[in-house]
Amino acid sequence: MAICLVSFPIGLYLALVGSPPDYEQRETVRIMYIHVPAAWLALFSYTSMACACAIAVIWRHPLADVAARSIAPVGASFTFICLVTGALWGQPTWGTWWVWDARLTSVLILFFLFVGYIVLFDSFDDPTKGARAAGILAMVGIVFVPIIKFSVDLLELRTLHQGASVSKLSGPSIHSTMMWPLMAMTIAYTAYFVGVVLIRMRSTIIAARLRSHRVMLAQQVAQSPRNRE
Amino acid sequence: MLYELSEYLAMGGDARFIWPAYAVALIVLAGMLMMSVSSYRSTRSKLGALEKVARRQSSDQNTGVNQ
Repeated sequence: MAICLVSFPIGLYLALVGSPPDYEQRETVRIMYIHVPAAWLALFSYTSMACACAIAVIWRHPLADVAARSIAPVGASFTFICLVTGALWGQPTWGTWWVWDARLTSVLILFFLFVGYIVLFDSFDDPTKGARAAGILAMVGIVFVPIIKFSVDLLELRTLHQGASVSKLSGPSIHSTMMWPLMAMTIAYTAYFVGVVLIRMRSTIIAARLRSHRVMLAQQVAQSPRNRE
Repeated sequence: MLYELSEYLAMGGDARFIWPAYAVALIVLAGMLMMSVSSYRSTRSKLGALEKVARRQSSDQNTGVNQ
């Protein structure tokens, strides 16, 4: 969390003050510094959640389910930020808040997958069954990650969304004055992701200990000599 | 000074898109962090209280056995 507390103000300063406006998009380009890292972290969250689910389903590691359940709301938050900031960037740049093209629709489906995972996980009385059903959904949904990543490059003529500027084989085509704030915000978002997921994982583990203590305490009370009399 | 500030906040006429975008991002991230920290603190304090009760009960039982 310390990395996040340092890099977030630096990223915000560089994004809002230190970087120049774009010659075509003017000041609206500043939305990029919160939109693009949110999209990257949304994909990273989903990939790590699906990996955790695979570990839970294959090796039955109990911590993997805890990790996946902790990642889901954080990933949903990043996807939500990506969708809302994208709409707010789309209106002044494209002249529309939303288009049903491959990139935007697949990100919306990613958001529904996160929400679906959370709902399915919590909808069973037996948490093991819930984790298994939600884990299968998360693993099936992983197909959307490459679809989102390559939707613009493969369907270039059928989308308003621009192509990649940073993660290109020929090297980044973005100027360093815009690259630095983008990198600072990406570091801040990643540190935030790690920090919040760890807090949520600890919380879930403590909640499990709390449940087992309650059961033990109830058994002790039931077996105590006073109650037997 | 005030003119410069208002000109900066106007963001070349795009303020109605830029500031709401930053506000949404900050509110969502701060909200998620606060919810996670408060849930962690409340579960930890509940566990602490329960462990105290369990220790007291087991020491009571031990004294009962000794008597």
